[in-house]
Amino acid sequence: MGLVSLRFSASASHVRTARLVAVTVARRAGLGEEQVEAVRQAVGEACALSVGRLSPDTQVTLTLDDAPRQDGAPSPARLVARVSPLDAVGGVGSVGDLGLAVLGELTDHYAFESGEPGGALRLTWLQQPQQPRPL
Amino acid sequence: MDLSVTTREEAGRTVVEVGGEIDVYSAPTLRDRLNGLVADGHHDLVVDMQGVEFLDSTGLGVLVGGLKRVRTHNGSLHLVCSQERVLKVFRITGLTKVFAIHDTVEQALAADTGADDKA
Repeated sequence: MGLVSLRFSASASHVRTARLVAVTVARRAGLGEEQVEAVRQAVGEACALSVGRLSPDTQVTLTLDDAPRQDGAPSPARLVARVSPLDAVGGVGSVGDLGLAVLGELTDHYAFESGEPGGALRLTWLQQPQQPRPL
Repeated sequence: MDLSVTTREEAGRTVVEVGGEIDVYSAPTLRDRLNGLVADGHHDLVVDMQGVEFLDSTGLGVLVGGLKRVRTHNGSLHLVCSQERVLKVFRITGLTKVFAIHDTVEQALAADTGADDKA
């Protein structure tokens, strides 16, 4: 299905909208409910981090890609969310650190990208292998 | 769903019933309510989160702030939450070790108010 992009003013009131869009895309991409919840939480945290560092007259962009380029990775990415602007340095307080701790647990991989002004945070969920239930 | 916060007195404690979403937008409202309660002399709080649909790290920060605040008055803050979706956020941040988390309001009210107790 490809790319969905949402751009919104850097206001905390829009973060909920971003979560709703992310959940809708994740469900339609066929992710399991546990991963969908992880997407809801992680995208919310990332958008909150971005909004918290910006003035309300700037804009945050969330893109969700359910058919990302695979680059020959052994575990194919299932969904990639990208939030910008958001960089790794500056303004990360205790709550920010808490947010990052959450991101580490909720995604299969997250990374800050510095390729554009303001930076971006990329969140990746991998294809979940069919695993037998643990005994 | 928007955040809702109602309070009542029960068994000598203040039960704060929270519903809806506690996130970067609504967390300041919850923080103001908790701060107001403590300022008014309510130092033993039970925060009932059974109606909470979503909790982010900003909300967690508010709860930690509330816990610190009541403890400066030798008070207590117990949580009521049995929803896996919300509990997971406490677990992955290690905050299950910080908060006494109960399945029901009754269990929270039956627990010691002592600042060091743990459910």
